Amino acid sequence: MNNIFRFYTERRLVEATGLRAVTLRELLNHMKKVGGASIFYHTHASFLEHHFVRQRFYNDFAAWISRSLQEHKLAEQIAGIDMMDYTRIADLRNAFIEIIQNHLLERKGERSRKAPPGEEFHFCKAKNFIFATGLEARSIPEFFHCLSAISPLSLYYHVFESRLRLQRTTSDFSVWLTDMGARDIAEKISRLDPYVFTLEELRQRITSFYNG
Amino acid sequence: MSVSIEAYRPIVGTQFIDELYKIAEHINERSIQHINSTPVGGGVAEILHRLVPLTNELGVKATWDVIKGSEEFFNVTKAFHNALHGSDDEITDDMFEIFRETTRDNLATMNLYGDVIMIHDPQPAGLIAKKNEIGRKWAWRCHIDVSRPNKKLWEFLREYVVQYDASVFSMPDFSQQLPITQFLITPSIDPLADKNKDLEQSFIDSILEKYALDPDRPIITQISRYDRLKDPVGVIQAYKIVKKRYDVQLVLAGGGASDDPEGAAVLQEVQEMGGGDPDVKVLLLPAYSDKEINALQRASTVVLQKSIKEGFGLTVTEAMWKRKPVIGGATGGIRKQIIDGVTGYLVHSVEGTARRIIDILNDPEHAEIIAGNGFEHVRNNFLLTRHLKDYMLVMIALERDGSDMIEL
Repeated sequence: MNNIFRFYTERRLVEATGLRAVTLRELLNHMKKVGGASIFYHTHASFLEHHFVRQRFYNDFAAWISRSLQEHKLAEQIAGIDMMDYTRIADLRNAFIEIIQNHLLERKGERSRKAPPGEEFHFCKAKNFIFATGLEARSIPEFFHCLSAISPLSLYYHVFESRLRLQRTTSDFSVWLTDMGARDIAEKISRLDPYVFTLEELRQRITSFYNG
Repeated sequence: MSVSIEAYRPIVGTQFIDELYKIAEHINERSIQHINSTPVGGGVAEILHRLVPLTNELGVKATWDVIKGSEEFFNVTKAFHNALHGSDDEITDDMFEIFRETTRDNLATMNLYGDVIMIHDPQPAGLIAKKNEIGRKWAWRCHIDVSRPNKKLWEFLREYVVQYDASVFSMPDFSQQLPITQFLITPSIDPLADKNKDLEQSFIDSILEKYALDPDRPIITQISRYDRLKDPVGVIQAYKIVKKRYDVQLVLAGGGASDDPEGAAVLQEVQEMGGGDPDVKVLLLPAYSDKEINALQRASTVVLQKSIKEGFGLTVTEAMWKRKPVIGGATGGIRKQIIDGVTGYLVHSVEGTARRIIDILNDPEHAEIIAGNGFEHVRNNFLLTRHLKDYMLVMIALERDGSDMIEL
């Protein structure tokens, strides 16, 4: 067993896909065919850009549906999806699709709302560059020492990115801590919903499981 | 005078600067050659002046060359610039011919040697003709708002753009239907430039004195060109609503309008509206007033950017960097920078603007929290060092396959 935990971090370059939506139906159609990287991007980019504050919608789809289409109920439903229930982007995509399709069915016959000019939804995605921070832990105390020193982006990589994009059921931290025999701490981390915290709050919360 | 990368360490954090060095290591001796159309003046030259030495300091060879062109050529490219912004300027076939001719001249005389050649804006875009002969990786970096471009002109430029390995736009709204990769790299501000660096209080005081502003009463400021799209008239209307019950001062400050008849008309209208009120200062600042603008922003209680249409809105970024509560028109890049009620306030009307000014005046503690969030947002996302990082990542991305996850 490899008992060294290597802390990685990531940096991103954002790309436009060229796909844009003006109506809910267009959003739905693009959502069905756009790459998984784009679904991931629009459910995480705003969270990452504003990782120091809590915001109403970190999900770009929900934010756009609320702001530009004024479909507030639908926006709340989309935003209300529990991200921790999903380990595959394909399943997450299907959950969004189902909610929007049901909404369109309920509104059948009604004229569809259009986003005002300049407020189109632009599908983007990110190219991620992953690299080692140079920080490594060989024991649980070392792990928590490193955790206090890593950048918010490194924390983001191990908790969010690795779980959903690498399709692990839990965060990198929980996997390693379980291997190291700290099952209690690992389970507490696994039960956390990291999306409701700022990254600094998340770091403090995880650290408290060790200190507490 | 070039500023060392180390000067940014206390600002953006040591981890970020260390990461820049790490990313630079992965560029493996490859060089980047920037090419634009002017060595001075304009945002692009301003950025390159800082970015090129910083890139070199990280160990990545970066150079900067400028194309040559006649006055006639630059008149054509100015018309191109306006037409890409969506103006009605007529674009003629003669203009295209002048563009082609200057491109041919530059192709014959310029040395194109970078491993990555980054071409900034439309003026040098035709240099891509050399790609077949010399290879290399080519990126077209478009700084202009091309969300509603003149169709005829875009079709002409597109022929060049599609030959590049990648394009770079500033916002998703500016991206196009293209067969090549479109990276999105938002603009940035330099925290150490005259416009943004910390200032001595004595200098700020001297500027207040110069313009007869009272430091003991709230100051509302909008810094921008006298252009209808920036809605300076709406700013005065909002001020007048606030002024009924609050003893505030208003500063509208913008650059020259000598070659812009529309701008001169707007300026006159604004002066007439503010006329007679000693608490309204309508300032026409000369070029190179960066330090004065900085001082005015720092002396402000509230900063407005009540635009009706906006590309990115760097004045919003600048004000947030100075920890000022910002009220911005809900349009373009302002929406990207301001989360309403979190990093600033978004407004759609004169009344909404006045309402938010009053909120800020009545609850300075909450305004300070919002201003602090705005500052963090800029620190994390819109500083020059992030721009530097993005350009290096573009260099790496151009060498790697199309994968979305690249392990360095």
